[in-house]
Amino acid sequence: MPRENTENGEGNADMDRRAFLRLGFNGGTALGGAVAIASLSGCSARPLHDPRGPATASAPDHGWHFLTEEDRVVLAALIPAIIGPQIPSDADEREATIARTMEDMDQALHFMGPPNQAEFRQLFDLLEFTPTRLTMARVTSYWPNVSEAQAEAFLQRWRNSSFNIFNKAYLGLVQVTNAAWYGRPDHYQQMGYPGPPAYTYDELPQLNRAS
Amino acid sequence: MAEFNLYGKGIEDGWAVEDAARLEADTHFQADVAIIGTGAGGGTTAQLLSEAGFRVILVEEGRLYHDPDFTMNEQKSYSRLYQEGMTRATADGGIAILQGRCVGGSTTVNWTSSFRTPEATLNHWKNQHGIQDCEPETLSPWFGNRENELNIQPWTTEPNRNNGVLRDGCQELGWDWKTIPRNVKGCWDLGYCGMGCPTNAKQGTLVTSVPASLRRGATLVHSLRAEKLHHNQDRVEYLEATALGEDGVAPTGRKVRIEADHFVVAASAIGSPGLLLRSKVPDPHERLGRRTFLHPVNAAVARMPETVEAYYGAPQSIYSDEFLWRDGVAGKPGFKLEVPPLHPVMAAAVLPDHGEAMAAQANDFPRIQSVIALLRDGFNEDSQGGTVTLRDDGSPQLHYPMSDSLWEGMRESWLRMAECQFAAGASAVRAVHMDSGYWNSWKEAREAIKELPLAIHRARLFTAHQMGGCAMGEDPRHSVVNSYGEHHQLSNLSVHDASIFPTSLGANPQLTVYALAARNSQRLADRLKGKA
Repeated sequence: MPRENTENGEGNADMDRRAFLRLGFNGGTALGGAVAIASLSGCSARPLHDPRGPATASAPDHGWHFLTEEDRVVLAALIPAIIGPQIPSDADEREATIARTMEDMDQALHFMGPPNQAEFRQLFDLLEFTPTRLTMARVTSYWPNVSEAQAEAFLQRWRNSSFNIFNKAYLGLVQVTNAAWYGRPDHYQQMGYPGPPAYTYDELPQLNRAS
Repeated sequence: MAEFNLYGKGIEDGWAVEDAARLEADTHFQADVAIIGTGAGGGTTAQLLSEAGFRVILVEEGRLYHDPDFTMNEQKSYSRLYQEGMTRATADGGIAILQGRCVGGSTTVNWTSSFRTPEATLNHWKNQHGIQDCEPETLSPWFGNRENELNIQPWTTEPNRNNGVLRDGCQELGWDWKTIPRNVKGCWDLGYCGMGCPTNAKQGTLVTSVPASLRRGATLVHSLRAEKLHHNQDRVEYLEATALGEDGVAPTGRKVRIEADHFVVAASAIGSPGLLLRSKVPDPHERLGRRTFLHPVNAAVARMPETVEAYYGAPQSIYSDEFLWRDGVAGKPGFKLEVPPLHPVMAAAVLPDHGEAMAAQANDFPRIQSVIALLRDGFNEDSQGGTVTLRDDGSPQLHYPMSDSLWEGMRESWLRMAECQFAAGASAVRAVHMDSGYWNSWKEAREAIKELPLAIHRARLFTAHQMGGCAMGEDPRHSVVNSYGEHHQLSNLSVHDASIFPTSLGANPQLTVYALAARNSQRLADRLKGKA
């Protein structure tokens, strides 16, 4: 029988984290010490906040499905580095766009279902738990203080790592972010994509209703 | 002229369509035949059995989305119409799995390519796997039957530029190329097949066999996950199912019990073994979930001097089988060359990058052309396919190791794709691989491709074709069902989807599924009537 309630399953999350680390490192690497620390640390890396509650001033009313406040702090540091020059330079616009991107990512993560969410939970835990942030992500600042250059360097490390598991984690982060960003109709023009052919807006009843 | 709101009108006319998300209590259904899955296999089966006079119930885990929902929006479509919100992948994450999860299954979101099973494949099945009645001439009437029913014809409109590049490259190099037969009627040539056809032109089961069944009094229950087939001795007694909420993800807590005289499982090459494993159906030789095949896909991307607009026009209209059988049927895995449609999210997912590199990629997008190679897996000793197992929560998961011969096939296909794209006039070509940059000439590409690391998460790999896992055959030591999809151990259980294939096909699978499901459903109807 499927059990859907993984968010409350602290024991399961802990086991999954160990499985994640084992999968990546097989115990015998230079990072073995960090693996041991992370895997023994239990639920201390778990976010303490209600994941559904409002968290940041940038997105006060949205009912979050998956992303916690800590996750959003990490993403606020990473999204500008992932999106790069397409990020608006105006501070307010930038903050609003990042918030909307996180909302779309949260939606996408919801529809992925529990097994994928469990993997993303492990990934965010690894990024948020200080010993693994320092040793595996090798990000030395707290996420709110991470500069775009530091975020970029982190992404490059994981993209080009010889550890398969970091490549996979990089792909996960970047794909969900890019899908949320470039899937927004107001960002279509950043890819030179005009959207569905103009005439369909007159010819298709479902688009008439949408407009 | 397109007919819109097919289901809205049908439901007004009294079609029995139940949204399990709205069930307010545990519920019980009874039918002559219960069919699990509404894709190519389940839809076709429902139509034939309804027309033969049986009371049919169709169970679909995904939700009913239809033309009013199909607004050509990638985010909405991918999240709702695909398995795991389009993030399904093999267990190690190495191969992204594109698979439908909605009424119509993958036929709602596929790119409409409709090939008969290659004769070489059918002969291999007969000779190497002992499959009965699978000769090309035996199956030909069934292919013809479905081609008529689904309006399958070679595409007569001029290919879009994305496909045109494949044609021109093949032409220039003297390679085989042909026009793809498509299951469309009154197609507008828009290019959004993968997001659900907005005009009902695509003749998937959503607009053909499922409505045909409903008109004959069949019941469709969607948003309902088939949990377990309860069986006793040699018979399935009932299906236990779980209602999912309006998001299609979270169970509502309502349970559904479905009793029937016969059960047909058509839940895909991942879903069907998953359901049978959860149900612990007899599997004395441990064949369930084994030999699952994917047509593993790799890709190359070209920057063309002209505008390509790979987002507009019929997504697939040209293919090349130049390299499909080159080393013999059981030799090195050959590959079929086709092209994928590219919209912003799809493009960003295929070639993930960040920062300046991603922005540069976005900037090139309208001039980007892509070719894909679909490798024929399961024909040689080295390619034994993958294995479906259950996660702790009971959901199915596919473990698929890339074999040495498949990796060799990947390198060979990158070479041929790049050669073809340069022959068609590409300014630059890159492999869809994390370690590939753009190459400015065929010579440069040829040297660089030889050095590309053959590793998952470096090579970007995909599959849109899942096959096997409930293999057919006459010997129960090597198969789950017989040559007609009838389960070896349970007498009132059949499997009618791509999971029964003993190997991959070497061609897009929907027409093979339609034809075998139609043939096997006819036989099932005769059998059930004989017993009545």
